Amino acid sequence: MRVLRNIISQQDQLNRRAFLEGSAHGIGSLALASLLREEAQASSHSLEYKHSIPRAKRVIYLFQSGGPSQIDLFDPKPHLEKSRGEELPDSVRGGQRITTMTSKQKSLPVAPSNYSFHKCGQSGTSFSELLPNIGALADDICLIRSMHTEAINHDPAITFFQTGSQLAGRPSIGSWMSYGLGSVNKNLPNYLVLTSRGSSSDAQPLYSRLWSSGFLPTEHSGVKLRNSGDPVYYLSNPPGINSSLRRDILDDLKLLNEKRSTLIGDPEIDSRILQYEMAFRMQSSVPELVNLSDETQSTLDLYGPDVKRPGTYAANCLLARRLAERGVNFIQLFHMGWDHHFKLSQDLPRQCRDTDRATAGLIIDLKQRGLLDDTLVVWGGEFGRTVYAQAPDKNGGRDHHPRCFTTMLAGGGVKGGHVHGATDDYCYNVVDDPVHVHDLNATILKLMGVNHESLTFKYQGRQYRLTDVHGKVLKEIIS
Amino acid sequence: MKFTACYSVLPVMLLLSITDLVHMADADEEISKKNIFWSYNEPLKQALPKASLWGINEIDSFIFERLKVEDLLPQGAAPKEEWIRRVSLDLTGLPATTQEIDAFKSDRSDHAFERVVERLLASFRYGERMASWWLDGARYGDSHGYDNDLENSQWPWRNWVIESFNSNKPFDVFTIEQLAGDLLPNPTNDQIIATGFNRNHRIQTEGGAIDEEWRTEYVIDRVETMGTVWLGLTLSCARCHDHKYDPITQKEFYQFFALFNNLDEKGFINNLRGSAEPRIRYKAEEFELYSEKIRTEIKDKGSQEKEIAKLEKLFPTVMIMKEMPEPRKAFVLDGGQYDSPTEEVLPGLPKSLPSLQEGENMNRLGLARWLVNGRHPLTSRVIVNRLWAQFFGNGIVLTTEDLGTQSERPSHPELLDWLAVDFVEHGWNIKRLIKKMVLSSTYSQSHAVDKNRLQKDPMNRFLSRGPRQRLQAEMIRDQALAISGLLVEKQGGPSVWTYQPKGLWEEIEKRGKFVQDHGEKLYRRTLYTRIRRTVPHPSMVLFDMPSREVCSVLRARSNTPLQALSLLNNVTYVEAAKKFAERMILNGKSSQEQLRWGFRTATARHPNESEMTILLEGYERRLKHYKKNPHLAKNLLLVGESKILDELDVIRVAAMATAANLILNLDEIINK
Repeated sequence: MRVLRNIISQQDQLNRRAFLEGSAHGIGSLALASLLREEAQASSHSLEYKHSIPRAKRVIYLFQSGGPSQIDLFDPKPHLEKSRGEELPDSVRGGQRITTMTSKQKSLPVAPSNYSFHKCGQSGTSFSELLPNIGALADDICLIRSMHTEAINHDPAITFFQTGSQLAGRPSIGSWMSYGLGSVNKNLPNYLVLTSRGSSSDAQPLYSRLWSSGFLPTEHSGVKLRNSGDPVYYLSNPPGINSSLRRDILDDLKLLNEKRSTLIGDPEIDSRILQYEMAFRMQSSVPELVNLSDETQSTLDLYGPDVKRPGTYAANCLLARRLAERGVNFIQLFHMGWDHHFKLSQDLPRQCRDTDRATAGLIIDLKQRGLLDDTLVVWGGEFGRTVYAQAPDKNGGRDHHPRCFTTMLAGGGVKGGHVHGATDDYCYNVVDDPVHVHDLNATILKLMGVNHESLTFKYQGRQYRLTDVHGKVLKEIIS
Repeated sequence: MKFTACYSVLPVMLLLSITDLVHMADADEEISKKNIFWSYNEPLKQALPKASLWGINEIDSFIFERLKVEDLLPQGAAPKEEWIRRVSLDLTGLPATTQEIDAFKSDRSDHAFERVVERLLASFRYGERMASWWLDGARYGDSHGYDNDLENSQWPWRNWVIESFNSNKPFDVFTIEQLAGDLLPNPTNDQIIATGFNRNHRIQTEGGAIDEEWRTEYVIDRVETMGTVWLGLTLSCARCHDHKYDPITQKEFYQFFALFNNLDEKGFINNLRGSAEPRIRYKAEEFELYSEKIRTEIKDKGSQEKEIAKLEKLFPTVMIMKEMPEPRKAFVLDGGQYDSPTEEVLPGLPKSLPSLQEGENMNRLGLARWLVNGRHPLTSRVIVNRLWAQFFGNGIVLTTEDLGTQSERPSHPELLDWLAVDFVEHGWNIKRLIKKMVLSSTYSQSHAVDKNRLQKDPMNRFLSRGPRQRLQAEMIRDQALAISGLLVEKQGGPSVWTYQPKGLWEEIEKRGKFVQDHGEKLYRRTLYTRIRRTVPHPSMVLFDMPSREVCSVLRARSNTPLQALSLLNNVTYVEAAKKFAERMILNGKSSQEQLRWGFRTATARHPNESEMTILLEGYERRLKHYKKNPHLAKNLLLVGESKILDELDVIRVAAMATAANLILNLDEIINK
């Protein structure tokens, strides 16, 4: 614990104390006691951020990179058919800036979805025929149809979702969680990242900075699991050094580093000691994690046949459940391939086939294990897609659309069978209950029991937080 | 093509153009405007703070002055071992040897520190270390960077960089040769190779790509890279629209574009290997001489061709800049799109910056000379700031890639300006500038820190203590090779393929079979390790080395469990531990002596008693373990392709290798 204490820099301690003071009331003594119990097993410094009883203990964030088409998947506009091929009215576009990909296009013809929608479950929420398995879980799912963002290109947009800023360099949401809450599992990093690529013909790349800790201490960076070989680079000891010998060497290393820390006082030394300890624990926890031999056939079936191919979205969904069981509190999947400027009619169904069953399988699996109640599942991309067609005359698709899109939530204290917000007849503008990226992030934090306005870090003379100076918790979607 | 660099929707205030802001400005805002645009004003050498009570040179006066404001005191001087280790790594990327440390410690003269610095600056290792720094901004890589990503042959350009730093080429000449060496009167082969800077960008090799689209991308890449490296401005925003923050209009962006647009190049070359036109033979005369010799001495046509092919590997062609006789027309591209030309533009400079000097032509040479004319407000500040960051951990402006209006304000504006002016006044002399920095009392402080300093100066921006930074990726590997005696020092030449995790290439692409090099090539400095841009080496990525796909001048310094795993288990570091153990055994009689020698060789200091006890007891425990399990000892010593001396006891070497592995993982070793 001495080491753990040391790592909290002076400034950090001050911050944390301020939270504690600011948050004393509002937490019932019973809840507090239970929190304390829980936290005793976890990190020693995490309680201070908890402002309310958490509804979720962990997040599984299924990031759909590229911008899935809300109009084809979640937001039906049956009356639009009569306007097919007509020019998008200027009154709807309202001077909205559009990307260079379609700004040169001579016309912006309205392109209603070619897919049918069905009312699903008791709630009757409509889902596209492309998502039959997800649709079947309608009563567990909360759709936010009124998401909107500020960015129009992938890199800034996805960076905005991840960090609350379009400019690279701020901590990612998982890093904020790790910093604020610590982890229940001390053998795995707090923030795990898995990536996959769909069978869509083209995919926007990802960048490792999307899960970086920015200016937060680096141990809060997301750790990405590889799909082949050592799941984590250089995980295995070299021949001739077994685990007990490695431990022996590391014990001495720790002693020597601690001596140096006492003398030099640089908190980075303590941080490095922690990193070496984590590295050692990962040597046993990671192989155990990725070994799926203890999964039953009926569980594997939930996720579909791809689950047996490492590196697929389905395999990653199963790994996400295993990480959730192990107490990792921020698990993020990035699935590439939703950027359907062209060939939407070919690539969107493929992309849905890759993800629909596994996403539903994950939710069912969590539910069967009693984990869904305290696991928040988030499904969504960095923006939506336009109602008008891009390159309509040559097997086209849809361009980026930041003004409205849909994000899906399940479990972790959100209302099932609920739809929040609405868009106009053209699926172009939000008309009811707009939800900004900052609002979604504030809500995710709230469900985790954290006040987004209090989880701050002072850097370069300024208090930073995930939601910048914005963010409104969506009380309406919390059950 | 999608553009990812623009952050297009911004708060209303920021959507206003700079001119709007200027019009809006009232008296108060005039002042804040001046503050925002500080870096566009010519730097002035202000009077030094009054008689400073601390330090030995001008840097110290400025630093002390600020420390007083922050109610802090400078830290005491670093022990000599700490200083020489720091300065050796900073100036050469390699640690000091025990002999060098001993010589420095016994040198009691006033010039002891200076002598060390002069020795280091005179070493060819200095050029290699500085090249590592410069190559990030120059986005140097050994492959074309797209699709099948085959190798290029730009390494002679890297040679030029190393040699230029070693000969202390003044920074103005260094700049002019890279941006416009081909336009100098009667340029030498070397001066033309220098222009490879502007050809280091990636080249599209994927079938179906549109030639003009990609050619446009390269020109834009040149503009953006020049902007970051010399102007410290993020010009990319102005590709599509007037810059929202900095006073650069879209038209001005394309005026720069016009300067880099005039070479007869292709945008797309299917399966390109080696150099694309325009190009020049490296050391053409030597190449001709040798090939002539082959042609006369070897009669058999087949063997002749084989020999010539070998020769071409040593004297490849290098991509360079070469003006076409008739300049290509340039246009403002609507939305940055290659196929949306609007207004025609001629080469020109942004209005917000000084104009071209009389008598200069507005071409690349004019641009290069303008950047280093000494009155340019950005170039000298940008370079001084980036060099400062190398030695002090943070830039005076933290955002070393951006000194524009969105940059972090400088921690010591007067010092930055003073150094920038001083640098120019002394002929852009890089070694002189570095010497001033590393001989300052500021740099020579101990890096020990206490609660008070941590609280008031957590990032050490005020330099209330000596710099303490994690070593850069290349330094970490080079240091391990040096300490273990594996390092093969040979300056320049083609890049090499060292160890990499099995299956690395297959994970991300279909083509290409990795063929690792052997022997000496495995142990050259990391600078010479091949960079395949789409598959960067994981252990380099883990330590924050950029992929070199685009210009990048600010490296992170992360601290992660994955780094620990790499330093513990990566074949490079296990092999280094093995060879280090062998050296330790050869350099001491008792195990105690051997461990002491090893600890000192790695850390530059002697271990204290308690440290020695930990080392020795651990060694003996593990010796016992290997005595019981000799096969494990043997297995450990099989890691890596180097061998240990036959006459040594395998069990002892293995046990010592565990101690060496431990030492190479000390936080003290990973940091400087």
